[in-house]
Amino acid sequence: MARLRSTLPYDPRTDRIADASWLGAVGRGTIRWVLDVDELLHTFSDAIASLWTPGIAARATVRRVITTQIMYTGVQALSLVSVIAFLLGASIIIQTNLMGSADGELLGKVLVAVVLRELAPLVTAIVIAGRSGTAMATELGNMKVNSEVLALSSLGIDPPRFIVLPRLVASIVSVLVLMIYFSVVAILGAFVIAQLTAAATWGSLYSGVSRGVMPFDLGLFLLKGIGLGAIVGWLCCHYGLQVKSSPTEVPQQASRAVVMSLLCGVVYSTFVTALFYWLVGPPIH
Amino acid sequence: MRTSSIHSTRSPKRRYLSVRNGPFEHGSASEELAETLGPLHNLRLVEPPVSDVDSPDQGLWLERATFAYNELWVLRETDLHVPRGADLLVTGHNGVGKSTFLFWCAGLLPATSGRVLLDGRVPHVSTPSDLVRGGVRRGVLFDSGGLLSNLSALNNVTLALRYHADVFGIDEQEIHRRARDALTELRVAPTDFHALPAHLSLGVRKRVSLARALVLEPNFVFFDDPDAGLDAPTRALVYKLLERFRDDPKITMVVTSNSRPLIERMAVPIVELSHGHLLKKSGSQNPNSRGPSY
Repeated sequence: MARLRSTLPYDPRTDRIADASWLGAVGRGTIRWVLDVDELLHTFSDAIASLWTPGIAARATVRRVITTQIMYTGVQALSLVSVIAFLLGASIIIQTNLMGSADGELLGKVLVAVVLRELAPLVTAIVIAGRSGTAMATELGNMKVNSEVLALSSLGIDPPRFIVLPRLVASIVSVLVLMIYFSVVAILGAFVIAQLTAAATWGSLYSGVSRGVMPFDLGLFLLKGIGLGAIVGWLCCHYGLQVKSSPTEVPQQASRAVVMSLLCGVVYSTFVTALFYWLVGPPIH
Repeated sequence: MRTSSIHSTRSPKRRYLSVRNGPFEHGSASEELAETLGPLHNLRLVEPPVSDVDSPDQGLWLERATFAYNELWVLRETDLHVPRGADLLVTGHNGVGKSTFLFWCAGLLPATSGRVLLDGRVPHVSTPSDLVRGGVRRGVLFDSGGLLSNLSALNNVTLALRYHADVFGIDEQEIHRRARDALTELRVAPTDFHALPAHLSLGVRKRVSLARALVLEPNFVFFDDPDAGLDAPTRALVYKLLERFRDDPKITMVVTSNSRPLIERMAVPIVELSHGHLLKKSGSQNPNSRGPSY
């Protein structure tokens, strides 16, 4: 069993775990995994719990930070999302044209199924994770390295409330709003290309889109937007705060944050789609 | 097994600074070092000011507290009481964990076991605002300043005031007045008020950090190597401020340093952190200072 030692005289060669049996390795790995999951859950629960922490002035300060974060995460990503959404909408029409002639109404329904239900939430989350998630994780990692998080604590400022909560909220709001924006621009792009290539008329496409949208789409849209936004904000903050004291850990944790956000985002999106399909059946018919 | 203690008496009330370390490992380097340094003797403090309110809960308490990084000890089971108005200077070799010990005493890091108490309150790492609402205000000086890199010098100083404005009962005007006064007192040039920390020298960053600690009117002060890397005028300014905190009967101060000028000038009880134990070290013998005598 590993034994606690003095720090002096410190010899790094002795700083290794003596027990090298496979059972010990499995045990340590399991304990480490459980502790990691516990920390991950605490990052989220502490941020949510801080909503109920008293302090009127603190709330006002946090609101200002949220506004700033929404500016960085949402507003500044508008141009990038515009370009991606327009081109994706156009690509779907071009690909459908390549498959042969399709009526406008079917194209509209395809747009609803592909763009509104799948691409808008996922691509928006990917853009936010790639653009702002890396920035969040890197910023928080550097804050840890420079003792800024400790400094906040020393001033009586709750790190979950001042650091994690604003980024979590900003991420959720940004993904939700950008999803709506993405959908509008993608459908607009599809309409424009459909007109230019004479694939379908405005009227038939509009009819297809309006018939394709179901009441449950609102729930699906909200669930995906809130969930994906929370996943990106939560994981990027968590991995950023996992940096200990070395600057070399910052890019490692930033990379891990984005990879995990994307992986969890895709899994979550697929799970929600499957859940809705199971609940309401195939809506296209 | 060895148990050690430091006691100091000061009138009119008997007050004490006590340290009790846990057992040394038999045959370890710690034990050898303890043998070399000898047992800890009673320590008398010379008449420091006594605060109006004197409760046994007040001040810094470590109760059977230990702190370890994975398998490495920073402090083995130790009881320590630094009463309100008393001060402690912690020395030790590089890498022994002085800064970690300081941050841990300040409640910024969770104890591995045991408890750290500030005026009878247990600091929680995720909700430090509880302490401020409970009347505990900490001023911590970090080795490199610890300023928030995306805020200007002025905003670094106003941040905590703004965050706790309702607790302190101050408005925006008062926040700015206090922050500007503190920065001016610490000789930060007005042209630096709106500069980001990255554009400030280490000396100015430390002064801004001190101003940030000062505006909170702290009752606990934790300074990590306060005079490291400073020029002579800035060092003199820092010493003056440390003496002010030392002489304030409402402020409990813990400083980590190996700087001889600082140790001599502060003339406060000194302990050495070594092998995870707090050991008494010979204190300053400056005849002009109000300090410990053995």
